[in-house]
Amino acid sequence: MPEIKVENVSKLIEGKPIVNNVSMEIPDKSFFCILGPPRSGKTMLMRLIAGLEMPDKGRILFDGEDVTALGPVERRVAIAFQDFALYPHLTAFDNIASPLKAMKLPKDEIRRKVLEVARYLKIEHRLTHYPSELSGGEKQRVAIARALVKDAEVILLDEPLVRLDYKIREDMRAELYKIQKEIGKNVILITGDPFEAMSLGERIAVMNEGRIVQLGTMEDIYERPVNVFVGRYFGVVEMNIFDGEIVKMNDVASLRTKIFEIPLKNARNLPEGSVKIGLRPEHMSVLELAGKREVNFRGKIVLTEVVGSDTIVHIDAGLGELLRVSVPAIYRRQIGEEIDVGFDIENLYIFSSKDEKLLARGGDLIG
Amino acid sequence: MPSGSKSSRLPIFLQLPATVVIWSLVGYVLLWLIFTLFHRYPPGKPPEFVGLGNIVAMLQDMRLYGAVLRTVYYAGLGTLIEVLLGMAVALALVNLIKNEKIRFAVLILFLLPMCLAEAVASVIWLMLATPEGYLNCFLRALGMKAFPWLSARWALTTLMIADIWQWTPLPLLLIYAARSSIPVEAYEVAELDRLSPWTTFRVVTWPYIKYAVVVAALLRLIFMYITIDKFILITYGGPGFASEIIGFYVFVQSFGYRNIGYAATLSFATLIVAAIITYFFWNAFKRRE
Amino acid sequence: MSWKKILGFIGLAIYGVWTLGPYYLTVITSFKKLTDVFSIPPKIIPYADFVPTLEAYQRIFSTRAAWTFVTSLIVATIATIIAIIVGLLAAYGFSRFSNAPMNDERSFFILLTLRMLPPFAVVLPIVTYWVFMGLIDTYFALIWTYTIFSIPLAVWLIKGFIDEIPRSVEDAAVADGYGFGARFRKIIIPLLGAGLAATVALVWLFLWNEFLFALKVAGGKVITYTAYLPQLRLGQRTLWNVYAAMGTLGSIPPLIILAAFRRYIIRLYLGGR
Repeated sequence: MPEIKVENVSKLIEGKPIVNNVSMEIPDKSFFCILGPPRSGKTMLMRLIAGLEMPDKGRILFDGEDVTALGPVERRVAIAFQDFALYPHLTAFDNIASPLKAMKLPKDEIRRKVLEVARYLKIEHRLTHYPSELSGGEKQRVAIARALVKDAEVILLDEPLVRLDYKIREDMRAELYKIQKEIGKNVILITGDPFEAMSLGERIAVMNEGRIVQLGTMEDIYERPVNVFVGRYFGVVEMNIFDGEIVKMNDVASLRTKIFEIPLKNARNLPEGSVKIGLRPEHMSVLELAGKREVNFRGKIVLTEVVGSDTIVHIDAGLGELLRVSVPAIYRRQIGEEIDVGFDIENLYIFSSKDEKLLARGGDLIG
Repeated sequence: MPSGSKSSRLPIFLQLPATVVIWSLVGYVLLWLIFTLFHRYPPGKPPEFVGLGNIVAMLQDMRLYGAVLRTVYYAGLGTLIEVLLGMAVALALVNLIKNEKIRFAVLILFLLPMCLAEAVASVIWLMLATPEGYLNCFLRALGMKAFPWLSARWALTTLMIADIWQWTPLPLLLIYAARSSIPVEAYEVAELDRLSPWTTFRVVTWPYIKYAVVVAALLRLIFMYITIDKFILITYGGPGFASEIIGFYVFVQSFGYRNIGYAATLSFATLIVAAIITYFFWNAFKRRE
Repeated sequence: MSWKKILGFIGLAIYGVWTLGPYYLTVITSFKKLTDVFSIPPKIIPYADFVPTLEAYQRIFSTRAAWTFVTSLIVATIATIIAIIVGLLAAYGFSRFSNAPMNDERSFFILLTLRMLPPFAVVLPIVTYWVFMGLIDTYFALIWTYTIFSIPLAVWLIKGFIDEIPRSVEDAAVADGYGFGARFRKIIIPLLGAGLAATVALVWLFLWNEFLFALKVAGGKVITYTAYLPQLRLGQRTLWNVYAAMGTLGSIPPLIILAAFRRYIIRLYLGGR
């Protein structure tokens, strides 16, 4: 159940850094999440932590011991791959037994362990089948069983749910959480789905372009995203970003946009000038359903999307960008209709226009 | 990239056997050719250095130009006919025989000639084309005159026909495979739009089979250029030089006249040509990927 | 049925006769007495036009002609085995280590170019080489030469098949604790399966059919059935039925392979191209 330390690790492919000087600490016995969009380097980082690849620079430590030169077996790491990576020519039983056979364990012990894990994952009735005969969910369980059976200390899950149907994904997510708690090992989940990270990860590392952009708990990243990218990416629905301005006259400061102006009490640290304002769709509400908020304005409906039991309403409020409002109900309105929407100031995110870093939350600025 | 091979020397070890085997001979071959083409080898006497003499002789060799023209005719026209005929039969198979099993059986039967050795095909066609052979027996049984299949005028064409017989199945197979990958819906749409057969071919079929046609054509061109089995077994370049293509000319210089230096020059030149054609083939293939 | 379709069927039928006719003629010729071979009109129906006989085959099996087939078999088989083993390793390298030196695209291209080189251009230097080594007209020389020219084809085909095996399956094997050798034996080879069989068949066939090197690198004491054929041509005195019998015998392995691997023919061409 090691504490894993990644120190200044870089990996280059054809001269380009896929993983660029990454450092982080993964506490032991935790459900750690590496989150990132495609081509952010997250899969390569996983392979480096697993021992499938050697870094070009830097090193990796398990409980203080340098394991950089060791392979997955010596590091006691187990992996469940996103395409399941089951051996097509072996039965589910033999797939799960594979790591144990490599360790040359006696046959009856192998049998015992495989059945134990299969029972735990509720697939013992499918063990004689070949991967081609199994459903997606079953294949995933076999892949996880294979990872669990060898009693590794670190379990890496590479986007395990991405190939599953939507409904099964939800069930598996809950199960994964339960499994981690029960086996008490280090589980590292690699995913591109922020929602998955939010529901499973105790600590989350957000990656982009080969670097770790932010590392923290779900709340940290949600409330204090380090920049616009993280703000946008780490949300159930993408955050709205629009332009604004900090105006200071005499001793009075205010946040001005095309359609509203907010007086600020505590703006001493903020520079004057243009800023980018972030507002999450789930922090906006529709007047007729939720009543008046601190800041209200009108917008024309351009599109409505029903997602699950929520509706995302895209409105044009004259800000230049369309705003997404997340309504926790089925909300049917016509395109072109005008509705009143609002938000509370504390929910705003203020980002610098220059480097897109987070300057403050609305709550900081009104005291 | 897999893994577990911490030794970054594994990739090199994987290539070593192949490299050792191949270059044990190929290296010698290339060096020998380059060395030899600058020399003359009069029989019984030591080799003499002639500088560019062989190359000059090659550029002035009229017999070589004759061979080049014959090769262009043989390989060019031969490939064209093989591809067109192969395409016609492939499309006919798909359009006319709807029963999958029968169609597949017929296809396999059609593939027979290309599985045979060139040498065996030569046996077959020698027995057909020889003056007393089957073709003339049939002609004369029908009351016509015997045809001079292997005469100076017709030998090259007869050999081309033999190659067409043997190798049309290759474009046939490639185009058939490409055609089979076209989804039925594409044709249903064409039918709904009431497109004429020619337009349907141009707009639906051709984009899918284009690649197969090009690959087949290039393959046949290259192999008609480099294969001389039929020429050795049926006509031996004759009568006279009437069926002497480039490859056969090189062969005759090498083993007939034993002009070692000149043969090396010709060989090297043909190697360069083959490499260039392969380079184009490779590029066409890569563009697809 | 439209007249276009009727025309089409007639066309296909003509093509069928054109394709199979010459082969049929050759096969029946092998069962004819020499005097029956060419006649006007040609005798094409056994038992009706002529009485089949085994005379030609008897001639073959009572002379060294029969041994030429054995030589072809030995040479083709041994060269194929070596080429496949060597080719498996190289193909794996090209497939999985395409960024490593000697395994990259350029090296692959060089290997393929070898396949496209004209045999007629290299046969003289190769003969010179073997004369120089004192090994001309030996089994070793021919087998070695054959191996060299078979490797590119083997690598080309096998690489295509290895490409189809997902790399994650190999990663899983690494994570399970299998070294390279074990991975190759337990994962790669089983998953190559039929593709490997088809490659072996194709490489072997190419060698069984080969003529030019057999003629010049060997052709004296060591002689394959293809290289033996020119010796049967005696102008007007050619024993046509024996000639046809040699060809017929030589055509048997190719046809067996065609029949056995017919399902893989299309896969092979799609996979290899």
